[in-house]
Amino acid sequence: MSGFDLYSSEGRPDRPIWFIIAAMTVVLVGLAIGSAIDYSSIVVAKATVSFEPTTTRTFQGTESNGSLTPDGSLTVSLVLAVDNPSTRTLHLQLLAFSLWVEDGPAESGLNESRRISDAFLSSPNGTRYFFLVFVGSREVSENPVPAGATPTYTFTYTLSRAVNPARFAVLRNITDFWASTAGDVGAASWFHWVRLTLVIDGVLPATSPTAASYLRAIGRIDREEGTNLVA
Amino acid sequence: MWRELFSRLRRPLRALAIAAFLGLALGYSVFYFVFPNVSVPAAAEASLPLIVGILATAAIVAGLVTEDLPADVVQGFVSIPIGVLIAFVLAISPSATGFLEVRADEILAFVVRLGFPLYLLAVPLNTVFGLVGLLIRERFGLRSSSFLRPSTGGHRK
Repeated sequence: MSGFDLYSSEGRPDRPIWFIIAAMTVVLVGLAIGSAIDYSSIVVAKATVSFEPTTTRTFQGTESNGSLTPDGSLTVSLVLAVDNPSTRTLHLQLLAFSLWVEDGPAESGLNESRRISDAFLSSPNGTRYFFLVFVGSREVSENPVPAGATPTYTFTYTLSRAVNPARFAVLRNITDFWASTAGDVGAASWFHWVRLTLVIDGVLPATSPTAASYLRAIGRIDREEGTNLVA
Repeated sequence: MWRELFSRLRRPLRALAIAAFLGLALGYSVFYFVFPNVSVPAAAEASLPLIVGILATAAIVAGLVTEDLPADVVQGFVSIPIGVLIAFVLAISPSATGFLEVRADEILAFVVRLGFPLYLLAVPLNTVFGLVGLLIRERFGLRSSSFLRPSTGGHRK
């Protein structure tokens, strides 16, 4: 053990080594503080980012009472205002959108078969049925969401005979019903549901299939707004 | 009296300072190991060579200023709880922003459980590489700087 007893006043002082330790400490503290700031900014982004969807429906090719003609179409503009109060830049990745219209013919018993496939809302006043006009999800590659900004993004969905004949035929049936009973297609209730997935810029996704789930989810923000009638 | 007290405390304080340095390296390594993609530097997967490199380098440098083998071993063990504390502080740091809604004990359990392999690894790494540093220290005849050298030389060679 005497070989390790280094209290002798002979030899060179170890002061330079303490400077190395001080330098390494500064580097490690810098890395640790940088990591804490990075981690905190990600947590803040995951907690604060929100979005507000707005839909605008436009019927083209309508009869005088507002019901759709066979050559008409419904165009829905979905405007997303993404509020990003965090210090991180975000990227839109996935967008899921569903839109339902109140199925008057099914509710009034004119079309019993659609009651099976329609979504419904039960209440003490009775059951309301809703036909799914649009459904789908897609990858989106829009401009990034800057830090501390609230940009808006517009997505357009169209339904016509050429796009989906079966669904368009039902929509025509529903618009005919509301136009003939209420005098206005706008009397029907509409419900939308939007789910948006954003990716936080600079967070590398875990690539290993055995990576922990929190590592795969930490750089992703999932938000949903509206009423999902099939949930 | 105070001078004598300081003289007696120099050795444990020195060992504690070195253990804190080792604990800092361990705490940062654990955080990087648990959250590689939000650390600096960020990576998709934690790099084991980088972690071992940080811990081994810290242990060698610590060994260069360690006085003897018992101190080396004690420092290695004392650095573990310090490392746990530093990793915990890093993991709970977002709570300072007011947006982290988890309990502190859950974060502590998370850091201890997921960092457990590194705590196990740190013990032999600190001891072995600390010993390497000690041998280098002896080889080059390094001695404690005057401001860290105990003045109670009477009972030592």
